Amino acid sequence: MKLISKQLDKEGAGSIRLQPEEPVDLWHAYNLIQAGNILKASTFRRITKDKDRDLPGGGNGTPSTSGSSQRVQLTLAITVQKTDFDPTAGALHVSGPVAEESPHVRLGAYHTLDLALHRAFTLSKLSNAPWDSVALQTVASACDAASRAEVGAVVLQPGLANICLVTEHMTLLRQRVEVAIPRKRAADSAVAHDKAITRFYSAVAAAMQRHFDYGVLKAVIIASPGFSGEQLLKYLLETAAKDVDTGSSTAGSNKMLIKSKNNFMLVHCASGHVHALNEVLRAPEVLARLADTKFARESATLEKFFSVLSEGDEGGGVKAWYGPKHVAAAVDRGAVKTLLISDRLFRSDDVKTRKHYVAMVEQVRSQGGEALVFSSLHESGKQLDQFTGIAAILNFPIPELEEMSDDDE
Amino acid sequence: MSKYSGFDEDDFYDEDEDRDQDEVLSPEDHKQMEDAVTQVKNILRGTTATDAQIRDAVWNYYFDVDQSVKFLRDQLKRQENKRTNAAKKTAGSKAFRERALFADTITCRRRTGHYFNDEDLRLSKRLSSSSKPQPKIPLGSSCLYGISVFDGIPWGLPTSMNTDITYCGRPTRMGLLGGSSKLAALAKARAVKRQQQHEQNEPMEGIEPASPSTPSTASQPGSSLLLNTSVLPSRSDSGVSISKRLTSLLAERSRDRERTSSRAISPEKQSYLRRTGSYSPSISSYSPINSDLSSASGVFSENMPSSFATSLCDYSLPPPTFSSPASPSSFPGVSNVDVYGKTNNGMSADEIWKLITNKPFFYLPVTERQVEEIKSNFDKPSPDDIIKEAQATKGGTIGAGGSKKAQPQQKGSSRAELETEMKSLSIQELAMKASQPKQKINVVEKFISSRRKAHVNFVVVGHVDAGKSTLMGRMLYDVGAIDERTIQKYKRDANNMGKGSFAFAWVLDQSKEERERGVTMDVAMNSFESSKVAFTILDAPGHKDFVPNMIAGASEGDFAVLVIDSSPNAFEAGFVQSGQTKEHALLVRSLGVQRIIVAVNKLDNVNWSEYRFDEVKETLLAFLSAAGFSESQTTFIPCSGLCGDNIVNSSVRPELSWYTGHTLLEELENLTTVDRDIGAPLRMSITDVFKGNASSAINVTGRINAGNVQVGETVLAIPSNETATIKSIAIADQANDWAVAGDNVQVALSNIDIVHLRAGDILCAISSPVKCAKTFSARVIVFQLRIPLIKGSNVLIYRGRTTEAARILRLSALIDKGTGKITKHKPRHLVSGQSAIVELEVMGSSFPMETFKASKDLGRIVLRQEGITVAAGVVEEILSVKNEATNE
Repeated sequence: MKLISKQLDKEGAGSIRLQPEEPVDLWHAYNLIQAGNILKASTFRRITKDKDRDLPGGGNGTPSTSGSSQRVQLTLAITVQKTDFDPTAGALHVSGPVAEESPHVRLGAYHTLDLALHRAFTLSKLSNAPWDSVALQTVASACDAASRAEVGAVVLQPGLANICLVTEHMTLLRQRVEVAIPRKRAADSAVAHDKAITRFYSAVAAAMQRHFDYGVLKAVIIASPGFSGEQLLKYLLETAAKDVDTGSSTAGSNKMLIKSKNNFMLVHCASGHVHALNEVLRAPEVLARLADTKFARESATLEKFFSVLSEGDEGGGVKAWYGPKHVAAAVDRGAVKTLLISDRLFRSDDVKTRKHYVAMVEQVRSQGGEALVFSSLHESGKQLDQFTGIAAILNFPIPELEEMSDDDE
Repeated sequence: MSKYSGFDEDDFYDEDEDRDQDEVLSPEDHKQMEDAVTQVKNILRGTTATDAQIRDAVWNYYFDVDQSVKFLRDQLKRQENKRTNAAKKTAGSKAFRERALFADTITCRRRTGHYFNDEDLRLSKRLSSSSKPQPKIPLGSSCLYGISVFDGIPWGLPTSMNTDITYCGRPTRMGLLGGSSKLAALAKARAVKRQQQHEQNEPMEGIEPASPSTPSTASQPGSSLLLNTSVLPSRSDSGVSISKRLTSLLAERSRDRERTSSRAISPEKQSYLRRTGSYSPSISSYSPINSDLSSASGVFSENMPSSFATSLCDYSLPPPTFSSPASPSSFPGVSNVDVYGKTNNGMSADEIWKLITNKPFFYLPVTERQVEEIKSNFDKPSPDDIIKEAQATKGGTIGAGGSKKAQPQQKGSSRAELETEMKSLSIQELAMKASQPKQKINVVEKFISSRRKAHVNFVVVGHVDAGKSTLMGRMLYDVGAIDERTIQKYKRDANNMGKGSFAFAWVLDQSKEERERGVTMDVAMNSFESSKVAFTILDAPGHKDFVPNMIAGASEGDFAVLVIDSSPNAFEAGFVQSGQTKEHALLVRSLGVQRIIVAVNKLDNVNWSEYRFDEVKETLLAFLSAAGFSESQTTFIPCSGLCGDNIVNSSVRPELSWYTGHTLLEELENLTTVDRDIGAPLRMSITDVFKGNASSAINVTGRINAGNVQVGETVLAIPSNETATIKSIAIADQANDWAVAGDNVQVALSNIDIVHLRAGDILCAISSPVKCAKTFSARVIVFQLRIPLIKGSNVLIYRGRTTEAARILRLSALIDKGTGKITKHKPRHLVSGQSAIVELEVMGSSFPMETFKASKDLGRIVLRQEGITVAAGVVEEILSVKNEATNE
């Protein structure tokens, strides 16, 4: 993301002009844009010209009753009502009524802005829902070029593979490969099994080739139970070498593959399902290499939370809690060491709710605790979302929390 | 569009029902009737005319006193003459009799409390209308009946009798569903067929109106007119079939009438009357007008002449033969009207015809549109047809109010017919799918009578490298299931790879990778027979990464052989928290295995030490009993897979003399098979799907969990919901025509594509498909956990070959392990060793599932998380089912 201009007053009201550079920037934009904000961006709109006013005779041979319509590029400002983000397609649609006078569109007419890469937009927040610390942090991290890391990850088990791209803030499932593999049976049919296995690896390799740009990826993680990963890597390198030798059409990308051989990491995981990624990203070998990345940090923190939770009463009381009510109580008592919060909670359309969580984050930080905003597009964030989206690791146990009811569930 | 454009049978009936109820004498009629009756009485004083007769006559002549008197006198006179001159039947007397009959009809109707129906009404009104004083119209000037319709209104009829002729638009002939569909074509074909049948039944009586059989028909003006006119279009090209049908209908009706009239008015008359009553809807079929009492006559008169005229439009038509020239008595009171008068004066039908055809203006008033309209009126199927059909189907017995009764029945039956047709369609479809075996075998009986060898399926489990595969390879070799040559080859190859000790394991570890790595990765299935028992071995992998495969194997076994490496430290390594000895034992127990044989293997490594054996035994016994295996169901055997001691043959080794128990094979032979419900609906869980070498059939292997299956049967694959036919069945590589629950079988399926089958799917009986759960509740026992289970935890559900991602929706309650009672509602998390009721949501695709109650096999699940078995349990209740599920 490129920060083009920033005009904020003391309360945080004002506008920021940003230009998304990468698909993940749209995710940031999605987290920034809230209902009630004013978003101004260049867009296209089909303008119907009334024949009586602008174009005598209707023109272009179209039926004169409907006048003529033209697709016009114009800059519109809308009051945001709805946002819609598709992480796989990398598309962000924002819709709402037009908020500023325009020569073509009357005020209040509905329009959907499609935010696109390399096209700047201006986001204005009013004083009732100003730019708060979390939003500004999002802008800062989005504009921090250094924190960009993209990792390719393949989790597989015989017959099933998930090809994913993991960026700082997003895990994108690119392709799921499923190949039926017959079981080994007496003598002859073991051949069928081996054949199917080879077919499976070639399908996975083809999918990787399609989705991974080895030149850009910081690392490629291959994770599997058993020996599938090992075999896949072997298969990849063998076929790539063969390919380069024969000079086929894929030789270019295979050359890159061989070049980036050292970027490959073999990790053990329990299954080939996507959520095994969570386990993969906190594996020691991954952490050693990608410790500075957000997703690794998130996975590790979540893991820590669980381990504290499983300790249970051992340390004189439970030191890990989840649920908005319990965590809020813990924050009030200044007991929070690490706050785990999902960005989903900040996306609430209710200004009050967002303010409440922003305040919680600020409070934890002011108390010297750590507040980690999980991306709900990562496996760890998804898991956090499943138990209310907010959790905390405490410095000391708070017995009162045990008595609290569970009605927030 | 008129309301008739969407014409169907039901419309008639509704209308008729209405009319039937409307046809009561109006108060005005009553008054008129009373007046007329008194007058007639006065005139006829001294005669034998009864009150009823007078009433009828008055009614017949529509309250015309003079005519009634005349009629009654005639009648009385005829009654006198009757006996003396029975043979001498003039047309007049015949008509008279008709009249009398008619009068009786009405009387009878009144007596029985029936209202007049259309037949009577039409007749009487037809008669009365002509008896009314009408303006004198010269014959030449559209004096014919048909034309009089158009100027008939000001004749001074009582207002109640005035006809409002409303043009409701031309009822276009619309086929069902627009007429273009197959259904419409079918209906048409049926109509034609029906009509042909009628023609056969009625040998064209009506078409030869002059034939001696029909004079009485013709003497009824209404029907005779209809009859005659209907003959005409039959000669034109258009509407041939319609007119034929009409003709046949009318002929039948008149025949009926004749029959009755020839009989004295008998007790059957009532039923006859009802039957004639059932014809009443005919009027509405000819008329687009919603006829009620007041319009009935108008309807009739409108249609009658116009259809007549329609046919007349055809110049080429030969003159119609008025079969029986209208006699004076058949047109009572026509003396006022010229045309009839002339007829009376001896004008023949031919003369009339000439008269008519010579007057071009005759058909002028009948416009093209009307012609069309009239033609179209006859395009519709006659309700008589329908009713007759209904009567026929009812066996001709129609009770009181037959016409009324027939209607709903007709309606109902047609709907029911449709429904059954629809049903039969789908049933047919299913039936087509469900090809039954040529010779249905009663598998249950066969199973009982066959007394086949006991089948024992056992799964071999244990920590990695405990020697499971080697032990089983040894066993297969020792019982002679593997020939010497093969073993020698394996030994040679294994030695070449530097893994000489793996030779026996290679019997089961067939895949290249397994041999290279020396690790079993997937369950290997093998079978052999001893003298007493047929065995199926399921050799499970011991490596922790392949626990899912082990679960698949364990779910196919009835018994378990737990192999323990007794080498120093090896047993301990397998018995730690994360070791597979414990996990496997717990898993097989939670998968329903109760009997376990512990093979303490590799005793050669500890010099056949009894002490080591006892040490292992004690440690394990404590654990196994805690895991739920009773001591009596647990056996320990010291053995060595590599050396072959105590596997098939008792050890002769002096070091092992301390052991006097059974060998492993003996112990296995002593296992008593588990009783299974072989009569239940089929459930077979698929463990593998592969294409056959030679045939196009798709082979699936799996375990029959419940019920039975036989060759030729059609089964349903869930979740794809595709049917397939069983082509062949093999149990332990032996072809068989049938298989029962508990068997591990290989089945060849035809009529299904391989994409519809996956390992983990269920084949089931078509009649009772398995449900695919979306959410369900389960009772689980929590295993050793690394992290606690909380709401929202991701888990993988395993059952047999099926794996599906799921998450915990809710932790419903903690339960007491012993009693199963709820100890705490809504716990916040579950920790190791707890028992709980949880609700789970299946995230991925369909998961065919049954409750534990319904199926012991399919109701057991294992929950794993990040490669660790976190819980195992049974499905308590299926809370919601996948939409796409298959349960119709």
